Amino acid sequence: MRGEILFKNNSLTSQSQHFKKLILSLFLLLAIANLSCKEAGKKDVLILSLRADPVYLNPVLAHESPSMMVNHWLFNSLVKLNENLQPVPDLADRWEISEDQKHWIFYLKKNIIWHDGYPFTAEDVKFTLAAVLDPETNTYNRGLFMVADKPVKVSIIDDYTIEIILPEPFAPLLTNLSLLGIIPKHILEGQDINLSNFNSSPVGTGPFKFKEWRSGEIITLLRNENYYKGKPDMEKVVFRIIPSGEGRLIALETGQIDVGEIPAKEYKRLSNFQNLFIYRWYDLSYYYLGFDLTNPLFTDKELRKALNYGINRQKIIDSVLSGYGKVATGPIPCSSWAYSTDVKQYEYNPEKAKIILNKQGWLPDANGILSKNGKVLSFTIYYGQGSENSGKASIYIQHFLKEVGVDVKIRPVEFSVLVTEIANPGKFEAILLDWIENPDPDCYVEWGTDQVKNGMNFMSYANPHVDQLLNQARTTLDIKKRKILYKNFQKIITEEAPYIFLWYPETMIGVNRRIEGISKPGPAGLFLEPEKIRVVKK
Amino acid sequence: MYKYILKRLAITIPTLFAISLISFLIIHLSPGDPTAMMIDPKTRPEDRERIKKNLGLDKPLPQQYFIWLNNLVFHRDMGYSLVNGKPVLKSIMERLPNTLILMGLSYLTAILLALPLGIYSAVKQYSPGDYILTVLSFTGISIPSFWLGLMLICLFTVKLQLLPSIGTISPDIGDNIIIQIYDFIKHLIMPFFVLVFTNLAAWSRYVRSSMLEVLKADYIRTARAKGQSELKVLYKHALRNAMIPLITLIGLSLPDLLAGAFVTEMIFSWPGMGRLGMDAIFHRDYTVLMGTIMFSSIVIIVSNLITDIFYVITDPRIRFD
Repeated sequence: MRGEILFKNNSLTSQSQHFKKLILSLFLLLAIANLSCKEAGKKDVLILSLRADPVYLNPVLAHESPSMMVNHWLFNSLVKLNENLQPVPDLADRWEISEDQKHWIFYLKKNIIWHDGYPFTAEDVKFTLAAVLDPETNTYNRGLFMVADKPVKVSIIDDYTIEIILPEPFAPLLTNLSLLGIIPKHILEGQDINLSNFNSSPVGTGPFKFKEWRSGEIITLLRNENYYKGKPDMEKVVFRIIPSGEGRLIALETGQIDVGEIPAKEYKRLSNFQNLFIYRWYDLSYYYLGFDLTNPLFTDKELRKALNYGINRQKIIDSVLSGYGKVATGPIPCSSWAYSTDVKQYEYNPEKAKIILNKQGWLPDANGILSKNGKVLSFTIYYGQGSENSGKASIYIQHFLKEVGVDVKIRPVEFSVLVTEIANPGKFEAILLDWIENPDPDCYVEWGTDQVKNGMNFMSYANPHVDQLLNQARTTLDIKKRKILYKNFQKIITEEAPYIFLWYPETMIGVNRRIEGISKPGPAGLFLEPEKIRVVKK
Repeated sequence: MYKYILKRLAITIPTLFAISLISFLIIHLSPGDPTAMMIDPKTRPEDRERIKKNLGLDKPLPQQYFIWLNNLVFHRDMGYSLVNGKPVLKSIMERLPNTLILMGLSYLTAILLALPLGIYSAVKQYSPGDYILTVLSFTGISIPSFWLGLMLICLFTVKLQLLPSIGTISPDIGDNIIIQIYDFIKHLIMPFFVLVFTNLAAWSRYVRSSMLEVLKADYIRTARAKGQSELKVLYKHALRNAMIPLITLIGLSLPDLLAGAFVTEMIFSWPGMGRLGMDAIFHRDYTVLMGTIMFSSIVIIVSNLITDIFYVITDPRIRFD
């Protein structure tokens, strides 16, 4: 009002000056309201970020990280993994294994209720397993419960006891069960699970209840007052969908989100931030350069070894990952309990590489490029377009191998094309990819001979001894015995060098210091006990 | 005129049919499929084949097309997303309001500002004002929107902490409608500014050059010679003629109102149609993609029709025949 009177009294004030005042006061208003909003908002709210909309808020169908991240707060599984990736009770209180290790009996917790008030029983567990095994269900998780190519059987003993019957002993069962949130039978029975509304407005048993999902923007969860482990500390969990990496980083820096991944090259700058704490660990994944082992060029084991010696992997890590990674030594991620360093290691030694190649009959021409019987030593590396690290690493590999006399070409291909047209049919010479492993070290789908056709053995690796070791390891429950089997497996694989194991990437997650109750950082995640997460005032 | 409009509308049906056939073929023949978006040790090729079959992607292409067409024409059903099983129409409707508000407001503002600025530049050609506007508009044309967006975020979000950089609402904003609207406006400012600035720059140049051309015409000299006021000369004789190319330009931009602006949406995490369409392309979500293509085709056809009608209104030489 005062401004208005002033304006009326001042006959000289022109239109433009009035406009300026308007803009100024608008900004002032913005600033004041902004401050008050900051005070009022996000008291008891944890704000997380997702890189994309979840596909299904239904753990039976979900298979990509945004969905799994949200489902983690909404659903429970029979068992869950602790900080050391070992199974501990969740919906199941305890379990018994029969003598022949094929019959698993799970005793469920009583008095657990769904978010809508219905009681949780063994029927729900049976329904969930039936849904994930139904061939009509559009899920990629079916393989988790296919043992020896047969579906597991489930039978209900009473309301709170359930038996899972396996065709043969299967060590990863508990880990796989930890990946499958239980869904309510009373809601989904008789519905087409693929198209159900449930998938975007779910009902679970977890510490938080679904409230709202604004497509492409925000997902809001409210605390479950009746959670079986007690009322969660926090009132709300919010997921903001931020598609660009820069956007997420800025949001983390400016406090618009509480948790976010930090790219290696930004670590140094952000480690000085007052309001951020950065957690670091090695995830269950590794990058590798795989060869098509049916290609006459790569059937020669000595040549593969020479290529291993010819690449300076530490240098790649130092520049591509700004040093935040570890040289990969074999086919099992370094954070797995089955990881062994008692393997054949290939240090960077270009001279040795040259000597091996010369011995194998590859001789340099005038330009230093090797050839044998008129054939030049040359191959193409495929990688997924958009994977910045893979692209940079390919260029380094090209550079290092050129020093040894190998001519490398690089071809980025769009990711879904890479899968369907290049990797799966085995139409490549070399491919740069990463494997993200399950918490259980079982990796039969990647190395088994019969997985060339049915699994993920793109490189066509075939070794009966490895088949036998991996089969034995997945059917043995004793962790000590499994460790020895996987140790032998890693020894053989590194000796044969079917891949060049490149690096174990380091995961770096920045968390706003106002958040407390985070579990020990590791591949199992930071929010193992969501009900204990709390916001502290500062 | 009504006859003409009816005739034009009748042609749209075969046009839409042709568009749907061609786009269906192109998107299905491009390599990759909806089941290939994930690759990790859990994704077995066997599961991929099974899911493809469940989704009907194993059927011959002509059959797939007729199933899609049949559902659309006789059941008015655009189908379900192949990736998340949501109805396609619902996916589009969730995003449409955000896109309409952002694009509509910024295009309208850009046009309303482009007209006076362009006319000013043309009338006062080579004046200091014209030079300033020219420099500004060339800056606007040459600055990429993602850069401008990031710079704005850098200034207003990171440095000044005045404006939020994500989405359309703040989490935990409460139920007070006034605060909600205020919060929405705060989220709108930066993406709005980016779109206004880049479009205004280009459009004011068009207005300027179009006006300049008309101002040199003989009939303007005649109008001045017969003693009409400068205002009348400018707005009645010059502007009306200068508008014709502008109508074409604006007509061509109308479909953007619904298609969204992907880059700006990415930078500001704005949940609009551009991101929906791009995600559908990356995931090979054929049904959603067909939905958005058909949607924008209809808009393009309708806006072409509107453009043509406006020609008649502004230019008496053009007749409906």
